[in-house]
Amino acid sequence: MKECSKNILPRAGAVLVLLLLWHMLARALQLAILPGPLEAFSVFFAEMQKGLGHHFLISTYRVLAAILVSFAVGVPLGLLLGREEKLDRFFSPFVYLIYPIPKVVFLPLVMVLLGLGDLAKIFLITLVVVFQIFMTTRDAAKGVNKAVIYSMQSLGANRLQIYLHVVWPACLPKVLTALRIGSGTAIAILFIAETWSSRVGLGYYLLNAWSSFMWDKVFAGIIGMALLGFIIYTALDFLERKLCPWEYV
Amino acid sequence: MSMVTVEKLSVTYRGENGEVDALHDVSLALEEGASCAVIGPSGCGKSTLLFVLAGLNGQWNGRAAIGGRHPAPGRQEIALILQDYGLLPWKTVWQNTVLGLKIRGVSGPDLRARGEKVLRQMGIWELHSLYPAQLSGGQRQRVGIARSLSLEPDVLLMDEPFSSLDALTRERLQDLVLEIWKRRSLTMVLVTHSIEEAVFLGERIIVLSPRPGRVVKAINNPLAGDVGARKDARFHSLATEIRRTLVEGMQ
Repeated sequence: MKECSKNILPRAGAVLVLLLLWHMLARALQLAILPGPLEAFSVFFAEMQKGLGHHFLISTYRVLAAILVSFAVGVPLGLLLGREEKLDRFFSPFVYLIYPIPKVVFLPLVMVLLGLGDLAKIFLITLVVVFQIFMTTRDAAKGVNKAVIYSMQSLGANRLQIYLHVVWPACLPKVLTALRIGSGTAIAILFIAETWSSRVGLGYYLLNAWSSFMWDKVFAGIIGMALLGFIIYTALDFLERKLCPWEYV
Repeated sequence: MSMVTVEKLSVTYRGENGEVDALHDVSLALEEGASCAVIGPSGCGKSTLLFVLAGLNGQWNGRAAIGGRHPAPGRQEIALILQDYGLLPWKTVWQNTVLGLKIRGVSGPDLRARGEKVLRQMGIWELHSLYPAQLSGGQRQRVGIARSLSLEPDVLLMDEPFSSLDALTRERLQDLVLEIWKRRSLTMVLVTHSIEEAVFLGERIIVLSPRPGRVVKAINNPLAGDVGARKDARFHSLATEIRRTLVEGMQ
């Protein structure tokens, strides 16, 4: 509880400072394109009762599905390649070639192959995020303290037990950090994917409001995206405290 | 039959920069219940010798055996204590202590009884729910010792176990190891940098040369195992002799 309030107070303070700056900027510029926070939030809450709530849920589903798939694929692969030298030597050249390519350029191809529905959007987000999670996990697995591995081997631990008791917990905090970073990337890619041939989602809602010059709705959409990112980030923070208590002693 | 046998043991590492001889023709024999301290300059292969005996290094020539059998990791009668304790930061004192037992298939009331008994013997039962990061260096090493003793080994291998501790804590833990060695009739191989530690704990002291490690001198030490030995004049003259041997070996 004490830990929780320790975090809440600075975050609430940061929110207040940002809202104040936004309010001052809107007042100073007096532009229709930049409504003040009070106006934007009142439109946001009103819109959530109407269509925005639905868009928010669909986008949440797409981002969470992509993060889960990226986790399910990236973490085991990262652990394996981080610890198994022969596999790493074989796959490393492919990783180094593919990793720097901005995956978002495959958007048209993904749409043609997988259609215009959720699958294509989830796939595109996964394509980007999975590399971030994979690379971080692999590096973390490579860096596991050798002495701890020796100590486990001397106790008679087999390979699976070493993964379970050493490699996985040693990498877990870094995996969660990669997920936090990946969640920000996922939302950025979600926006791009949803502005392409989409009829639902926060990206579509934003683009629709933007092309109709409804700036208050644009900001309602931006608040929706920020809220989505904030919820995922906070949930991962909570998860880290629950799963990695030794990091907080 | 010796409990620990090493005959003409040589170890060569093959790395990116070619071959490195770590040990050359090292021999030693230890009877059951005896203790041996291996001392030498950094990089002389002391830890390599211990890793061979623990079954963690399989690339060697010559002969090495524990209880007449080839060294292998996880053998029931062998326990290894490492310099940086080998504790898992994500497991509590209790989880670290019983980890070896769990890996070796012990469970239920037997696991609980053995874990609690050894933690109480080490005087750290009250710390059982804490993580290693919450412990002092001495307490961490007590957990490392507790984990090894919970396995009820016949042979205890220790790789510079007290090197990162302050002088007073080091002496306390040396006394503790001495008491355990006597009570349990363990066969003990201790690798150390500390001449005083070697004289205090090693019935037989093996002095190694710089890389590749060869036995420069093997000394029988009648002072080992005597709690009051540190105040004995012979303790200091033996320490001086070992220091001289080490210096000569490095020249």
